[in-house]
Amino acid sequence: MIPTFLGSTLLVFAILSVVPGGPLDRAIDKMRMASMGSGEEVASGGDSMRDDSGISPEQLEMLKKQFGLDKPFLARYLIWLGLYPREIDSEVVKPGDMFRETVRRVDLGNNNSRLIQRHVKVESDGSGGIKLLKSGVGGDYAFQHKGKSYPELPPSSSIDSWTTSNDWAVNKQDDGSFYLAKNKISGLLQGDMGTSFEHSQPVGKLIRERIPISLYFGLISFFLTYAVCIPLGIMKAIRHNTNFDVITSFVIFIGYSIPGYALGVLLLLLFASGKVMGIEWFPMGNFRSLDYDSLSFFGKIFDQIKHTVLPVICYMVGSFATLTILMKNSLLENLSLDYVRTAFAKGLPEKKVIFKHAVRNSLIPIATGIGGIVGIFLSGSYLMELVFNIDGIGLLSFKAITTMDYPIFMGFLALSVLTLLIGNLISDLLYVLIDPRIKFD
Amino acid sequence: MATANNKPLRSESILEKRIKNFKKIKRGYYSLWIISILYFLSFLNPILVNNKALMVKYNGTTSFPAFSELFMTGKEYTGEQFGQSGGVVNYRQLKKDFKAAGEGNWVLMPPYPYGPLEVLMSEFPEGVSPPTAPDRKNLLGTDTQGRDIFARLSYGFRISISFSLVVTFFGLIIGITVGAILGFYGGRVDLVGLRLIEVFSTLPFLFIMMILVKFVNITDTWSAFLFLASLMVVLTGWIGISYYVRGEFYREKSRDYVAAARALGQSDFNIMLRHILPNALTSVITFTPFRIVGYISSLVALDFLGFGLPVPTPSWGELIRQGSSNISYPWLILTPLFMLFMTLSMVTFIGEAVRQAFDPRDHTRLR
Amino acid sequence: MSDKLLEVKNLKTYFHTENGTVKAVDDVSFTIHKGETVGIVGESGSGKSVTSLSVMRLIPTPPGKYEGGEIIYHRPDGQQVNLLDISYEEMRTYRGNEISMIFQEPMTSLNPVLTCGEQVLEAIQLHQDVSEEEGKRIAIEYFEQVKLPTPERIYDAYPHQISGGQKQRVMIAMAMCNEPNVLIADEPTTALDVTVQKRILGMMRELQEKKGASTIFITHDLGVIAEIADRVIVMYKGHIVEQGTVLEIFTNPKHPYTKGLIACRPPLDKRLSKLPTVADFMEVKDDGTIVEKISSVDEAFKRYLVTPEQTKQRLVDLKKQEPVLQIRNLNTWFSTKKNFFGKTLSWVKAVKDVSFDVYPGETMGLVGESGCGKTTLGRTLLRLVKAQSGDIIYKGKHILDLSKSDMKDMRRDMQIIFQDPYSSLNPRMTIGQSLLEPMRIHGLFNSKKERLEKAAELLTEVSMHPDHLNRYPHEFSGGQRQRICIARTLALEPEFIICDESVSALDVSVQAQVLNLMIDLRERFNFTYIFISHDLSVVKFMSDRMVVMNKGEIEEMGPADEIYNNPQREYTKKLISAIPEGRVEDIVARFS
Repeated sequence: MIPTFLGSTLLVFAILSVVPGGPLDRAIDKMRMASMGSGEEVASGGDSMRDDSGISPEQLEMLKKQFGLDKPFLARYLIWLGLYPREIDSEVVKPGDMFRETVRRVDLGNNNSRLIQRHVKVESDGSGGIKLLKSGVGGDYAFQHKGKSYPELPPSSSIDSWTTSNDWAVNKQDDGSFYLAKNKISGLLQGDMGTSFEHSQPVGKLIRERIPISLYFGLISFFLTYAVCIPLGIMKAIRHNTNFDVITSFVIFIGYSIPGYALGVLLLLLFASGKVMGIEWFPMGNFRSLDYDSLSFFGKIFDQIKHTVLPVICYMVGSFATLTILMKNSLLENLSLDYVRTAFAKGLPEKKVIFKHAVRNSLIPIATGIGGIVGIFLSGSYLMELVFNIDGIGLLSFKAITTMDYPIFMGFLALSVLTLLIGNLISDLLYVLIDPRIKFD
Repeated sequence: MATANNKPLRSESILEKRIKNFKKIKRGYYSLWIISILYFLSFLNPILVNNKALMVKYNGTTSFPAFSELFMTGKEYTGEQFGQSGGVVNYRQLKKDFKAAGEGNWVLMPPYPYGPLEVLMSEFPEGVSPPTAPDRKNLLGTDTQGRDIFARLSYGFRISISFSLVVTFFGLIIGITVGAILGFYGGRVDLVGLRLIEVFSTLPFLFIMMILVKFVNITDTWSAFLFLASLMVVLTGWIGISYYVRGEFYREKSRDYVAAARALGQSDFNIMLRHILPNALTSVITFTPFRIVGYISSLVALDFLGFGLPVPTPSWGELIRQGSSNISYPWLILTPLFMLFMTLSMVTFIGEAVRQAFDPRDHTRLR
Repeated sequence: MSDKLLEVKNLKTYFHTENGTVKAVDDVSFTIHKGETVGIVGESGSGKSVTSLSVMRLIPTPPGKYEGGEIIYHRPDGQQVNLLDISYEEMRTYRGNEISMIFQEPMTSLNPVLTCGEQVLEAIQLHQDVSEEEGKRIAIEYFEQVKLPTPERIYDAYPHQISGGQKQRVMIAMAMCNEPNVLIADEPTTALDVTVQKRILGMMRELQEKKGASTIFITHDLGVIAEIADRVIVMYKGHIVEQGTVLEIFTNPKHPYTKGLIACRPPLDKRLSKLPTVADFMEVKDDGTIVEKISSVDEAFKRYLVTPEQTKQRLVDLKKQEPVLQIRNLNTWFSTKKNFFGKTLSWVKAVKDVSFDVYPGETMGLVGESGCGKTTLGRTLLRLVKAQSGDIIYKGKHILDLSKSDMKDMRRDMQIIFQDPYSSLNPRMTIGQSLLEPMRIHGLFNSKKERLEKAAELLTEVSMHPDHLNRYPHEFSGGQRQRICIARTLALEPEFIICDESVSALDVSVQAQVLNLMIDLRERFNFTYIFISHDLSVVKFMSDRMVVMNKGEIEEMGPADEIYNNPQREYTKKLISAIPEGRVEDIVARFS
């Protein structure tokens, strides 16, 4: 499991790092455009001379650092994983300088935040180097948020107690200044997936916010699919080759051949837009109505249901046929096995033979399928979320691709690989649970 | 001994029997015919659905613009050649002009005289702007750019089917090769290979494709086609197959007929190729139509998301995208969706029939 | 008569398939009386299983159909019911209750996901109004009756956790637990080792005496019939050709087919150069009539009798030569558990330190129960399985050290015929392709035409028709396929052939034909055979000398007749005594 996880994340990390057009290039483009001024024609990609003229090496270096691209590839991967320290803050100082060091960020909601800071004094240590002195945090100064008190930075002149700070790595630079870096191991393992370029928010937070939405649709369609397909498969097996079987097969296979998102577009057009049949039974997508919070309790439920029906149909249509037919064939196969004959020979009624003996054995291959579906219902389906404009993980990641917001994409990848692998594990466990012949080791 | 054999000399192979079974399943059999004929016709698109004339008779000279496109001779005609102004010939206009002039010049247009890339904006009546609804001239209407939808759909059909066939074919070749090697040799090769398969199967391949498409940014249809197809083969086309073939080889290699071949001195390669492969292939073949369905809809999805073939390539996904962002013009969605659903349904029916024909278990039941 | 229990009258069970109607059971009538054991014997396709399944109404329909006849069951209350006439609901009250059945394949006949106890309990609670505790008590009581070790443990065990013999005992317990009046046993011991078969037959006899249920015992092996049946019904191609008491059948068989069945079993008390076959006794004309050829079994035996002197002389002559094959301290181990780096942590030692010689023209028998390592040994000799250590010297060459290309040449000389004729032919190659392949590999003959001629000749050699070249294996019966396998082996004109259980999957009557063919070929081409089988009677018949193997090691080794007549080891004695010999003396003893 772990090698697979590392393998796939490393592979994608590698792809992302060789692909240009990433955030760095976009930032460079922006700077170059700014520096060239208006009226001038934008340089084409092939014209390298003018490309370079727009941006200085220092600026490039700074940009790289900003995006964490100044380190070698493997180091970046390890930083992302959380096995190698990440530079979370840096300062360029000279002896006698003083700067503010951020200790914490307090989230005030509505995308507002406030920093809790302290002062750091830079003093010469007498032997060509420097030593750092830090102030305390807060003191008499404080601000209130949600009933809690947070320290606020006092003026530096009012501070009398300074303690030596060892929080920074010090590097002397050629021009006599000092480069201070604050390093911290903070990556996936520590729950830190980096910060989104576009949203300027931690990726973990962005994803966490959207998990419930994706999970909502995923779980509902997952349970509905199983609740419908297994009985339907059983019924089709029992009535094999009857009209019921033939007709449902026809419908199921047509359903199979329709991609969920395409069906979504169609359903929206037919039942939500009102443009074709004048029907506007369902909303044109979204998770909930804008005025959801102002609705009554039943109003909320009704609103939620209205927003759920069409997406769930589309989510289901993909795995519906596969699961039903798998169930049917599996049961048919079991019904022709010797142990079923034994059960009949005992004098068991047909229903009992089917449900007590054959169905349980037929569920074994179904159990393996569950793992794959777990992956879908946690990481969402971006196509469906796009069509129905549901702000879930899938849509977030899809947008991250269009904007080359790699931290989000890597976070999404980690999540989806992990859920897939966990799904496999669940399948294995179910296997062991249902089939006594298989031992887990 | 040898009594029960008063049958004809040459007996049916398993494959022949299956083909016979397949023909009996009408839904799938006819679907195969329809799809095959349509696919064949789609290669004749330049002379069936085109804005270039099949034949132009002008001042004693005869030229065949549509045919030179069909045979890809690269010969282009300019308006001046036919006494029209402007570089690009408007053959429909030319036809009218010739008729009006009555000088014995004539133009023979293809049955459906509109091309997939041709912008018809200039032919719309005053005040009408694209997309236009279906009418007698443009059977399925025009899209937001004023291009004929029927023409775009029929050219898109050829691209969709070709794409899925190419991906399926190369996916099969790579998948079978990898699976065969892993299953037959086992051991450490298998261990490493299996990990690789697992890594690839966890990747969200459409996402990776989008990233790479964005990176490469190809503007030529043909190269984009190859690029997308090879990406899809590498990222997903071989994985399921190789996993499956691996299992089949693993199982089949322990059969006595393999031991017998080995005892006869047959080489590993020939054992794999001549003995195990034909036996392992059955299920792979039965999955193939369903894979084709998957690749068609993957390409449509990519086009739909704007990461597929470059504009102005005629594609179904691109039309669906136009439609879903211009929901006031239902024909923009309905026609491509209908085509897509019909095509996929037919391929699915083929798949269902193949599966039934290849796996004709008599499910008998006791009571 | 008042002691009638089950009357089958003019039963016709047909199967309507795509390729026409198969009259599996055609106008069969017989009666089962209270307390008796009736054996139904016949080769595969004779309709014996379909007859028994018809009684249970367990014929899958479609394609099966009861086309006519009655199956009258005499209920304990004196009423008579036609089982073919009643509803499914009513039929259920008889199944497993008054009439129960045991099947051939114990491996697949139990539901893998339910414990043995649950499955027996289910049968008990279905027909008896008892609580779960009481049901469990009954089940365990029956587990004791069928002599299962640790009944309590097996009650909670899943089928895959117990052995094949134990599974069959569970099946018997399940069939008996409602004290049925009729027990139908369809080849219940065919899939088991002889020693296990003997114990189960003994147990069934005992149980039958105690409970008094009438038993219908279906088998292709007359030897088993002799051990257990009171009366015998002989079936052939859907018809009953003869019925009588077991003593009558064995001492005075009337129908030539019965005679053939009796004679074609390899006898243990005498040595024959060949086995009489059904074809020695009768000829089937084109219109289906049967013409008798020899009337007496003994006469048939006399034709092929070999004296002990001749046997001795042959052994002496054989041993005068240099051994063609020498096996020295051969070991073949399989790793069952490996650590992360691929180092083996535990081994199954399938072949342990085996040494013996084989002389040119000799047939060396290799006998032992399943899992004793005999098959692995055979495959190791041909390097189909990798040897751990030891030496195999064939004609002075060290087989284990040969390069790939030298080994390929060696394969022309050393060939193998496998057990399962169904899986040893590639289902996707015509017979012709299968026969041509070895010739092509080794570059025999110059053109395809010559090879085809040779292939046709080979088919004739194994008494099949050259027309069969273009057919696929699935159209042939097991016996025919095994002939094709032999023909394929012959294509390379080898000198040394390993027969790995080559006749074990065949019916006794077909087995005799194939064995005779092998003997024919041995005489014509002076083959050296290693003949591997779990069936000591077959090995004894075929071999000059034999090796008894147990748990990967040689138990004992010597001239075949000597080992049979004077076994030294306990294991060998056990094997010998387990053979259902079908001797008249034993039958007489059983009834006295």
